[in-house]
Formats: sequence, structure tokens, C-alpha cells
Amino acid sequence: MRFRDMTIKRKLLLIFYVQILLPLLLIVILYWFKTEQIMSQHALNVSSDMLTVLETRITDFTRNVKVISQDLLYDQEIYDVLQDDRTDTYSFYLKVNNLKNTLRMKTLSYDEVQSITVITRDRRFFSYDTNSGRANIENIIPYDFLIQKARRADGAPVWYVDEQGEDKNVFLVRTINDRDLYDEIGLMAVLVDKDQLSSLYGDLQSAFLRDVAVMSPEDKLLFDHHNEDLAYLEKLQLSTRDQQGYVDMRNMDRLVVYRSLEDLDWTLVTAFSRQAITQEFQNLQQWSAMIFIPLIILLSVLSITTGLDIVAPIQKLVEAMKRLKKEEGYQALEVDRQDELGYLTETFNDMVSEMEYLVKDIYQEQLIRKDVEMKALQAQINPHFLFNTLETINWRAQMKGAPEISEMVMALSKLMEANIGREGKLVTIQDEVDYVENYLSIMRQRYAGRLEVRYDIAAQLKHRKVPRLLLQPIVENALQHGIGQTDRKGVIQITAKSGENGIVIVVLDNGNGMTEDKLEELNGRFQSAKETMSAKEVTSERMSIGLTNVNQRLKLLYGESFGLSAQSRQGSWTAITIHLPANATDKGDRS
Amino acid sequence: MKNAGTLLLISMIGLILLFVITMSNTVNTPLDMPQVDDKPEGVTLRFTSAWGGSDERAAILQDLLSIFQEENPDIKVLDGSMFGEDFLFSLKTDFASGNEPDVFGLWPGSDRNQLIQTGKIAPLGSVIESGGQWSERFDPLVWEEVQAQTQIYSVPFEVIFEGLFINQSIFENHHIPIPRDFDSLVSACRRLRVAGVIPIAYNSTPEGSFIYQNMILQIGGRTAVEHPFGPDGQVHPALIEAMEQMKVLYDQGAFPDTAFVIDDITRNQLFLQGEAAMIVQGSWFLDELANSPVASEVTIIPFPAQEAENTGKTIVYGIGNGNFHISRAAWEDPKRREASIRLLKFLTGPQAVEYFQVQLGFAFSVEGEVVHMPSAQDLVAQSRVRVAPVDHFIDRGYWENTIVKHFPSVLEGSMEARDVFEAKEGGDQ
Repeated sequence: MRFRDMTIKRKLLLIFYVQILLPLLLIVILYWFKTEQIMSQHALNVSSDMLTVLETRITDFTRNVKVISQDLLYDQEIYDVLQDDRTDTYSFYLKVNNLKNTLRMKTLSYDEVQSITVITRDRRFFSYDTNSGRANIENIIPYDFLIQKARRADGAPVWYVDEQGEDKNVFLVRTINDRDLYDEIGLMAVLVDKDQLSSLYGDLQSAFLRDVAVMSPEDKLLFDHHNEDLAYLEKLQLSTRDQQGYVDMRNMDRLVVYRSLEDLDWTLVTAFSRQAITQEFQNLQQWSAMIFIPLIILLSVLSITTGLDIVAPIQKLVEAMKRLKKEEGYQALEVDRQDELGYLTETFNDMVSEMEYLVKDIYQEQLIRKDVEMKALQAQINPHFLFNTLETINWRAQMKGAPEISEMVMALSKLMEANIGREGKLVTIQDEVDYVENYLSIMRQRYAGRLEVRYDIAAQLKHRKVPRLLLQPIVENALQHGIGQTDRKGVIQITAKSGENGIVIVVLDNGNGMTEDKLEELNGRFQSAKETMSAKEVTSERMSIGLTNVNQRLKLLYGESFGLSAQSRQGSWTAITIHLPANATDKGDRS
Repeated sequence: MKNAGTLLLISMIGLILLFVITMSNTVNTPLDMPQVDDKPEGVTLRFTSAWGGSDERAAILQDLLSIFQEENPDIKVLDGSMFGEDFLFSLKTDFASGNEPDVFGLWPGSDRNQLIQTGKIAPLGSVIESGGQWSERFDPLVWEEVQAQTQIYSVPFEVIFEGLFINQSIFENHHIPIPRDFDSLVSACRRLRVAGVIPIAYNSTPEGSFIYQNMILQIGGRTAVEHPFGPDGQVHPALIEAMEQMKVLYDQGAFPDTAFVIDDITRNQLFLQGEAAMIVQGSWFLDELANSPVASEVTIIPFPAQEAENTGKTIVYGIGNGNFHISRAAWEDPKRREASIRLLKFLTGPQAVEYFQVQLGFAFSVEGEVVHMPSAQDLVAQSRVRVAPVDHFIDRGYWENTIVKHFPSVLEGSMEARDVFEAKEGGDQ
């Protein structure tokens, strides 16, 4: 279905979903993932910081142990013991005693150290251990391995973690060289206090930072917090990777961050739980969902309601139109709003009402017109019969010697001919006078000398053309409603002359006149510009139909400024004035 | 509205496209690993020399190192210079424990030779050969002083000489003639003691024993100094005789009553405060002297020979601590080697000369010897034979731990001078 073919209701809903819900939904999804990434990045940063802390701690720790061992090498007592030829037992004993005091002092002074031992080349141990002074370093130290490792460094300190041992003891070892000849005279080993070492990383572990460990160059776990199974770290082969980086292990809910120490060949590892870091965010997400879903519902309801509020009146209008189209009748729609839709409905109601009226009016007019046409058709048939009949009556009257009847019949015949209008719609004023005379010749029989007609027609106007039957209806009206209503002798004065505003023809009778109200009504009707009279007017004012007919024909022909006007005084006279344009031509004939 | 549907469709597609792009950006974008490695890319050099602590050269050295680091922002120099005897002890221990400095100053002598023999110092022949103007400034003869095993292992920048510093006012006040031979020295000491003045500011430390070095030279000449022990370890008689003459002086009250317990600074102060009439010191002492209350009353004379006519002909003259080396460990690290060479050239370059010139007693192996004190200039100028200090030729450990250590016993008479060298003669060394 094309968009423009959709109902407005569907369009509104579609637009609502596209414009509001879709972006909202996309934003929420984007927010969801983006936040997860930001949180992960943040966690990575924090982990990196943690690694820095751990690196700093371990570097400080190892540096301290190195400084302790270096301090001892600045001490003459070590050399005194190692370089003694032991010929003087007492002297040697004193030197050994001094050395042990020094070792005790160092061991007790520094928390990092559990035990220090100085080993002669013939494997005599001079040690001190914080374990109640009982040295066990002699039992656990892998001397043969360490001496080889230390020799390669030629006096420099070397770190060693005894991965084979149960406790994974951490040693710092270095050969002791003669300070003049630089040849090896012994070995120093410092056993690190494991508790102190583990305190470096133990307190870094949290709900978020789950795993903290130190790995060997062989990717073996050296130290960890023993809380979790960290064997997975050994499979990562961090030693083959960059100096620092991260490994995302989503299946294990871990983001492993690692960094290799520069001075030591250890790799520091932290692993944080994505789930833990996103926990609070998930709460936020739940809250967002709890807000978002009702929001969607609320917005939907609001949108639908708003849409329906707009669409419903339109639908009512459409339904009404459909009913109207099917001619099922129209019942005015209820208007209960003042907005544009209310105005539309109200206007539609008015329009339909007016339309109904017009339909009825036109219908009746058409009926009347048909009736008139029917009559006209009938009239087209009758004239021949009437003319023949009138000719027969004329012949019989002449045969019987009744010339007045013959004269009346001839007048009637000419009058009928004028009415039928065989010779165009316009005739000269003289023709009109002739029509009036024919009519009066009939009517004089009735009035028997009590009727006088005077003509005052300007000579130049006699041949001016005017609409047919212009004067006769007015004269007929004067006879019927004026002179016919009195007993005195009737006089009709017909005057035609040119004026400033055109030709003026006045038909004045000395009949009964009319009241002022009636005169006003008549003039009002003359002023009315209706082209056609309603049926109601035709029936109710039949008496003045002749005048109205003339007036309307003149207005149709010459415009609104022309037509009839009436003056009268009740009981004395009535004058009907015909206003024609000065240059009235045979316009009517052409039409 | 005809195109409204199309517009709507395009909007939807655009929106979804935007979303997909953003999502793909979001989902596929790897996290940024924070780069915490903010350590400067440059190199850190460890430097050490005897110009530390209260040494007058220490301040100048610090200024020079600061300038060097400003001019070479990629190099940081950690100065571990120590004054006096601590320097050598620390340096040797550091070498023995794999903790050696990258660049260091060390006077010629047995310690330096031992380091060379054990391969702990890098040969600098290639640096000097390609040094251009820098190396051409040096007196060609000076390279011979620092040559070993046909290789040059150091850049000698500072030369030193020793002499007898005397407080002329004390001698004049007590009408005592300036000693010109050993007997007159003994006589002067006796008379000064009687006058209640400490004759010679001496203490039984290696530095305090400069008097002994000078006496060996005056008694045994160059041979005794440069070859103190024979092929079989037998000691040169001059060393024994000089020690016996030390006892003669001691018996005459030539030394402070506290000679066996005071340190080097206290010993110097005895002379600088006018309590002692004489002291055997080196050119490096001139600057300290210049800032003392007795500066104007002091002159430097050759150490009295056995016979007066020989006095002044032979002086102790050699390379000082400003004899710069690069350790093998630094040399083998390309970054540290390049930086060390730059530091070495800077410390022995024109700017260093300019800075050290303000030191009264600093003599250079380049651009002439600059010593401001006229008597010191005379001392050097009038000398015919210049011989390096004897401790350059005797194992430093043996010098300190055997010879110097036994001085109190010999002076007190509890040990014969010959007995001090018994072990050496036994071939133990």
C-alpha cells in the first residue's frame, strides 16, 4: 500500500513510531552497548592503574631487597669472613659473630626480608632467619642452581622463584666478589618474606578486580591470591605477546590486563569481571527499562488518543459524505469543538443543508419549467387550431353581419400572434402600440366607451425596438387592477420620450391606485435582481406577474439599472415607468 | 505530501543505517590500552667521581652536569660522587657487585689497572681517534699516562701535583727557617712543637699519608715510586726508610696528638685555621685554602729532599681523579654507550675547562696548566722530574689496609717498618 493511500490514522501512528519510538529505541540500544563499552574502557583504565600500583609496589619491594643486599656488600664484615684464612679460629669466630649480627640487624630491620645467608665457596652458610632466628634457608635453597645463575650476572643481583618448591620461595641471589681483584669469594642469598610479598597484591583484589597474579617468563603462575582457579592465565601465553596489553575473555567473564616488568622478567596480570563492573549499570538499565516501557505505553496512548481526536471527526465527515453520496440521507453532524475540525464540520453541515435546499428548489423549478414547457408545447399546437377557429368565427361573423365580433376576433388573432412571437423578440414601439390597440379593441367592448387611451409617443421613438409585449402587460395590469376597480371613465396615458438617462415610457392610469405599502413592495420587487422568480413568488403574486415579467426581461436585456418603477396614489392614479437605455438596440433579437 | 512516504522511508533507512554504523563502531572498536609507559625515552647514566661532598669541585661538577642535562634532555645523569676515601670504597664495591657506574673518574693506579685487567672498563681508543678537535686539544704525552695493554682506557682531564704547604707567618713569628732538607724539617718540627704549634697536619688515613708518598719519592726517586715492589715482591728500601723517617718526625712531635683518630677534614682544618704550620697536600687543596683565614700567609714549596740541593727537582705530579672512564657494562649497551661518550666529551670539553678554571688549584691536561697561585706555578715550573703518586703503583687495598693501617703501630714503635711489608715480601699479593 502506498503511503498516500494509507488512512490518516495509520499515517499518524507510523510517523509517531518513526519519529519518536524508533529513535528512542535506537538511543536506548546504543546507550546500552555504548555504556557497556565505556564501562569496560573505564575498567581497563582502572586495571591499568592497578597494574601501575602493583608494578610500583613490586618495583619498590624488589628495589628495597636489592638495596639491602647492596648495603651488605658495602659492609666490610662480609669480606672479613669470606676472605679469612681461618687460621686464627678465635679471630674468625669474632668475624663470623659480627657478620651474624649484621645479618640479624638487616633481617629484622626490613620487613621484606625473611632470611639472609652468606655462603662461602666451600658452602659454609652464615645466615639469619626471622623464624625465631633458626635458619632454614640452608635447607630450602637450591644452591647448585643459584650459584650458576648468579655467576652469569657477575655480582649483579638476580631474582629467582623456586617454582619446584612447595612454597615457591623467592630469592635474590648474587655472587660476592673481591673488591680488589673482582674474583668470586662467595654467594649471598636473600629469602623474601612471602607474607610481605603477597600483601603487595592481596589487597588489590576486589569484587571488581577478581584476579591478581604474577606470571613467570614461562607463563607459569608465580604468585596469586589463591582464591580462584587461575590456570586459565597460564594458557594465555602472555610472554609471547606485547609488553603490555589486554585479552578479552568474554566466555569467562574476564578482561585480562597484563604488563611485563622491565627489570624483572615477571608479568603482572589483573583480570576484572565485566559482570561486576556492569552490575550497577545493569541496575540502571533495569531502571531505564522500567521507565522506558511505561513511557512507550504512555506515549502510544497519548499518540493514539491525539491521533484519534484528529482522525475521528474526519472519519465522521467521510462517513457522512459516503452516506450522502449513497443518498441515504444526511443527519447534521454534532459539533462539539471549536477548532478547525469543528469549523469544518459546521461548515459541512451548513453546506449540506444549503445544498439540500438548492436541490429541492431546483427540483421544483425544474418541475415548473417542465410544466411550462409542456404548456408551451401544448400552446404550439393550439395556435393553428385557434387561428383557424378564429378565422372561421371571423368568416361566420361577417356572414352573419356582426362586424364588432369580427373586429374582436381579428384583434384577438393579432394579439395572439404577438404572444406567440413568430417574428422575433424585439418589436418597435409602434408595434407595441398596435398590440395595445388590439388588446384595447377587445377590452373596449367590455368597457363600452368608458375607456380612453391617449398616446404621446415621440416621433423619433416610434421605430425604436423594444422587447415584445412590453406595453400590453402594463396596460392590462392598469385595466384589471386600476381602472377595473372604479366606476369612472378610465383614461390611460402612454407617453414615450427620450430623457437624460435613456428612453422613458410611462403608462399612467386614473384607476384606483394602490396603498403605499403595496407600492413599496412592488418597487422592492422591481429592484430585486433575481433572474428567475421562485415558484412561491409566482404563485403568491400572480396579480403582478405581468409587471414582474416585463421588469425581469428588461433587466436581463439591459442590466440592473433598467426596468420598471411604479408611482401611485391610492384612489387617484398609478404610473408605471419603463426605463430603457437611450441606445437600446436590437440586442434582444440577437440573443 | 506525495513524497512524504519516500521521505519517511529514507528517514527510517538513514536512522537505521546511522544506528548500524554507530553500533558496529561501538561493538567492533577495540578498547584502548592506556599507555602507562611514560618513562622518558632517554637514558639515565650513573656517574661517580671523587668530586663529591665537601670537595671544592663538587659544586662545579654539579653545574656542569646540569648544563649537560639541559643540552641533552634525553640523558639524565645520576651523580654518585663521593668525597675522600668513601669514593674508592664505593666504586670498587659497586664494580664487585655488578652495580658499576656508567661514567666515572678514577686516578691512575692499581685499582684502575685491576678494573682494566678484569675487563670492567671499556677501551676508548676509537672514541679518541674519532674525537677530532676534542681529542686534539689534549697534550699527546698525557695519553701515555693512561695507557694500559696498548689501549687508552680513559680521558685524563685533570693533572695534580703535591707539595708542602707552609704557613709563613708561623715560621716568621717563631723565627724558624723554611725547611729545605729533611734535617731542617725535623729541626723545624721540633722548634714548632716547643712553640706550642702543631708542626705538620697529618692523620693516619690514605690522604693523610701524602707526606709518606713524598718522602718515598725524595728518598728513592722515580724507581721507588713506580716499582715499589720487586718481581718477587720484595719491597723497595725507600718505602721502609721513608716510614722510619716518619717515625723520626713523629718522635719529634711533628704530628697532632690526635693524628690516629681525626678524619681528613679535621686534619685540613688544623692547617686552614692556623693551628698547624705545615701540611702535605695536592693542587686540589689550593681552592679550599684560598677561602681560609690563612690564605694570604700560606705558600707552597717542594717537599724537602734529603739534601737541600735536590729540593724542588722532583715532585709528585700525575693524573687526578678527573680521569674519566666508561664502564664495560655501559659500553655494551648501545644507548648508554652513546650517551656516555657524550658525557665524557662534555666533562673534558672547553666548557668544563671554562668552569674549572675558576678553581685555583685545578690543572688541566689541555690548553696549558692553569694554576693561579704563583708559588704553585713555580713549584711545577721548576721541577725537573715529575712522578705520579706512589699509590698509583701500589695496590690500593694494600696501600690502605696494610701500609696506612699500620702507621700508628710503626709510629708508636710497636711495629718495625720492615715488618709492615713482611706479608708482601712473602709473596701473598
